Amino acid sequence: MIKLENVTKKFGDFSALDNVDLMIPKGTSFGLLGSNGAGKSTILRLLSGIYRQTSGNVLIDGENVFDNTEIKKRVFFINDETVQFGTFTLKGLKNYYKGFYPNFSEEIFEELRNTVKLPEDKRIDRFSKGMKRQSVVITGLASGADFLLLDEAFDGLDPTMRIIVKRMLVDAMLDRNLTTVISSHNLKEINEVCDSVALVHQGKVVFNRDLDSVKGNIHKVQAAFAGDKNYEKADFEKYGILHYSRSQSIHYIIMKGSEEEIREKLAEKDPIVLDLIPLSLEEIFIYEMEGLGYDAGQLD
Amino acid sequence: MTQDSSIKTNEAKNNAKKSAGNFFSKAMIHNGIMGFKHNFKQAVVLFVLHMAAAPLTISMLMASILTKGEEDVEGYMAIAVLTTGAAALAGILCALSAMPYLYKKSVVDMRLSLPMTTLQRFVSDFVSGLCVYVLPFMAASVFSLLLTLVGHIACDGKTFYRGYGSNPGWECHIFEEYAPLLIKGIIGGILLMIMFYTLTLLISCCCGSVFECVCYTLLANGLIPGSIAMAVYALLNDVYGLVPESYLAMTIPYTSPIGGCIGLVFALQSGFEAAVSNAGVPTSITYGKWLLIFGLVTVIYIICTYLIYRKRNAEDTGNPIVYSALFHVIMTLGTACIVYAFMVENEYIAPMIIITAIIYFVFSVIRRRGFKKFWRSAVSYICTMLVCLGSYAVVVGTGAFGAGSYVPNASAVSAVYLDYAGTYASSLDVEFSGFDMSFDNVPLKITDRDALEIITDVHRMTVNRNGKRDRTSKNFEIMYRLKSGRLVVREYSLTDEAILKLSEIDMMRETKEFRAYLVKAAADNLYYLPASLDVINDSENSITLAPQWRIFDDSGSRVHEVSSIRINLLPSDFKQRLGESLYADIIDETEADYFSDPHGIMQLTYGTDNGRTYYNRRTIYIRSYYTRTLEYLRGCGFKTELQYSKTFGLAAADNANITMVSDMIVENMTGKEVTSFTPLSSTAGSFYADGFANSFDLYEYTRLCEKYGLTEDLYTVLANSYKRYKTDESCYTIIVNGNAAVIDPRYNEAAERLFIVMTVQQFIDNMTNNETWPNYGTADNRTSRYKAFLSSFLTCYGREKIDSVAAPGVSVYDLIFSYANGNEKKGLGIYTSRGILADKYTSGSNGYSYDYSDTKSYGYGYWEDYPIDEEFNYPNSFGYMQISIP
Repeated sequence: MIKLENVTKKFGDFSALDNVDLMIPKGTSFGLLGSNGAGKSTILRLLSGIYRQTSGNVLIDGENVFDNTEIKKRVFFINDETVQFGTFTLKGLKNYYKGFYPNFSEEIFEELRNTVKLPEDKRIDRFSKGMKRQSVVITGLASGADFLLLDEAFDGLDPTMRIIVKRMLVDAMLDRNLTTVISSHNLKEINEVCDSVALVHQGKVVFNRDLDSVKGNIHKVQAAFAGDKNYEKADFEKYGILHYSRSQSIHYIIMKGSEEEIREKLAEKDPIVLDLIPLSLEEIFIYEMEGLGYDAGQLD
Repeated sequence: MTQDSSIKTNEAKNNAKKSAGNFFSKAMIHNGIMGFKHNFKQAVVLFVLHMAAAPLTISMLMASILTKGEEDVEGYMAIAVLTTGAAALAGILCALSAMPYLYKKSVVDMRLSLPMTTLQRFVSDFVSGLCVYVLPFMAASVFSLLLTLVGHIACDGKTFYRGYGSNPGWECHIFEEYAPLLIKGIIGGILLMIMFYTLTLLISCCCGSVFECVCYTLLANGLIPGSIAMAVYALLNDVYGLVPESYLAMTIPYTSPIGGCIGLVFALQSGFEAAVSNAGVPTSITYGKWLLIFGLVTVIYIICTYLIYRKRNAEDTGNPIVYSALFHVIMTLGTACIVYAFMVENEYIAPMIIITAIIYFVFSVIRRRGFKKFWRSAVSYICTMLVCLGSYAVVVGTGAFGAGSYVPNASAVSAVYLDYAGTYASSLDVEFSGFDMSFDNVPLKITDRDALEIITDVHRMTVNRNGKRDRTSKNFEIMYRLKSGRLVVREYSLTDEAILKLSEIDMMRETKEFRAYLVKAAADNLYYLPASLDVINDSENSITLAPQWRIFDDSGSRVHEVSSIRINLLPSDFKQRLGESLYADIIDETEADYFSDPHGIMQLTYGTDNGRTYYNRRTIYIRSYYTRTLEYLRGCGFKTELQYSKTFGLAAADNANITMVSDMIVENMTGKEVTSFTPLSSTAGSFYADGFANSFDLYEYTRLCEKYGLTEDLYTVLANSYKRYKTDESCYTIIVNGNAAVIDPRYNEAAERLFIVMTVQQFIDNMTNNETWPNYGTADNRTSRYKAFLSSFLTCYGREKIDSVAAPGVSVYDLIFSYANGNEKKGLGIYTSRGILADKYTSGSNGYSYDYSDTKSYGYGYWEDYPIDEEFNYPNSFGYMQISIP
């Protein structure tokens, strides 16, 4: 299990993470959502032992990660760059990581390589962006690590290859209880792969829940009220709305809460029409961020 | 303890415990191997560079030996220097390639996420990079050793000769000398490379970009030795008695790669010379000491590098400077280097401030990538300057914290080393012109308690005198080895009282043995007899016995007898027997022998004696009381009674640079014993006593004797002058071509005639030809010394001995003294490029408080310029003077 306890990470005067608590159960696929600079990559680098936390504990199976070789042998971090592997061939990359990860499986590596059909003896810097990404992902999956940390892992992959890579991840999770932590702006991928997600904003975790719970706890409401009731945004703010807009007599409201809770709250307004529509993860992200003051309109 | 630090500490402890058991993990070794493989191409390039250095040069040396010098190796030497330099500089590349995550952001995640502890990663990366750097050198070194082995087989046990021109002077044996030297050099070279590599990593750990890594590494390498050198010179130069060089020798060779190179060369050289001369050379740098200290400093650098590496965070990569301390250290070193360079001369303060400020601010802008927080740079600069100038004030003000006046207690001294072979002796009694075997580097070692007491007393007398360092004169260096192992080196100008005191050790056992050893060593190395005699010509191939003065006439012929025998006609053990005889004679010499050698000396010479130019010549002086030696030489066929011809005096006047000194006019001299010894010449003596600094060692004037008909006098004087002589009578000293000798006082009359002629002629020349003033001291007291000299001169000889008729009515006496009587028209004049600068007396009775400078008033008189075109008519000019010889 991955656990962050009151973790703070400062870069000089800037706090990238501020007293973050996070728990990721073993065997889950966990998504990290957040705006640019929110602290997602910092969390991944703390988990992989690259960064040393300023305070708090970064624990994997109860042990601090930094400078802990036994734990680090069980963690494989794939960041959003591939340029560092440029001078390797795929075979060289395999041999390189094989020496560091005792559970590295050449069989899995070959199997995955055959699946994605990557040449073994060609230098990686001559690969396309997607092929480079595939190379690193199959190396990570073959490393035998228990925890795979992916930062923008699907960046550069074509749709077909995305499906293949996702399938590889899912298979590994099912086969050997692999825990994956994925940081991505591509919420569709997160939605498809992850069981749980955490939203990080300005160094703090806004929420950390399983994906179904997240989706079931926020709704888009389309409502119409009798003509003599000319409601405005202020009339709904006491319900903790995330977003409000109106088109003629139709009110569009994004609210947190279960369907029953929302219906109960709005019943007092005596709606003529009340429809609740589930939101996609992307919409949830956008509206949650808007609720935190991070919306495109504000940026204008 | 803060939460942050407690977490880090606990974390480090826990992880260290886990890692302690298996420090050399597979991952760590794998990381090192992969690092080496990754940078293998660099190693190949370095190997090629190293192979183009020592192995290539050794091959060419062998070719040179086998072809009897037809192959010129200098070109290969140049290639070797260039390629070795390039390979050495590649240490920066190797260090940066070993830890690219220090400056390249893209590899940080990949390298730091690998399952290794910080220490494991540091060790494996450090070692792999070092292997890339050092292994090619080691491989090339193995080739070098193998080649020398081949050279041994091919060159009959000798790898090369060290000689001069076609004259091979010395053979170098592979297993005894060359191979050990090479192995020492290789080990030293490896250590130098490790320090350079470590220093680069140390700097790189403090930087986050390639530019800063390279730039600050180069700066650090130059500034560490540079600032030490400048600081030592500036801080200690003004502290009387301290020898900056001794402090440099204690610091520079051990603290930086460049200094280490110098130290290694000195260390190898000292061991090398010790091997040749079989003498213990107490230099402050010996190979073992250098290896130990340099190695320890390197280890300290490695530890510091690791500590900084461990503290450094992954996110620091990309910042130009990670630890601002680096910037401040480098800038302080750089500023100190410039400030102290200026402080050595104690002038140009404004340029110093401007230059340091410009450099400081340029680097500040580069560091901050702009002008933000520029005021901080100004504050830093002021603080740096205050540190530099404050340290100077403190060190000089406290006499280097009392070090300048420190005199060790004799009981605390285990040995003293002096560059000294006796007060009344020339330092070595040997002269190796053109072939210096560095005997000067072998000092006298004194352990005798009585002698140590005398030396510390001499030291104390000198310190108590609280003198001012006179860097223009030859100083006396004392090197103490204390019982604690500490080396204390001091340098002073000795007073004549101190010299007298020091002379008490002259006849002590160690001093005599040292003199005897030096002369015997000189005999052992008098000549080299090559296997094939045809490599040297006949003129160089003889041993010649000659009188002490070797004078040649205009045609280049000798004007004295010589006795010469070809080397191959001498006994095969000539050098050995000669050395043994000399050794025994010196050991047996009595005080009377030592302090007086009335029968003079002869010189036994090997090498070309080409008229006035001595080329590749080696000489041993044979004293008249060296009975065993003289007997042995006679047994070998040498004639030991050698005479000068009557043309000797004229030839000397024509061709020799002659200076005469009279102890009757020397100021501040006390005791006739001192005045009669002969250490004035730089080649003949050890000291430059303060008393002599005030003397009038009159300048060369070659045709005086002929002009004034004194060749007979010169013959007499030269034939009766001695390099060692002690007398209670006043006498003269003559210096011929730099060699000083005391004139037997029985011939004072002839000497006096010569002296007066030369003295007055010099006075006239100085006045009329604007000659450079002789050694009167500094510019500000030339005139007063000149006055003092002439006053003494006239006191001794009377005004009647010299007379001037050039300017009517003006006698020398009047010229000198009449200015004090208020007679403006008869003032003292000094010639300048603008005319006669004459003292124009105005009032008062003590009008000689003047200065030798341009027109201005001083005291009671002032100087005015007068044109010289009417020198015969102008009442204040000298014109020239005629001398009437009594």
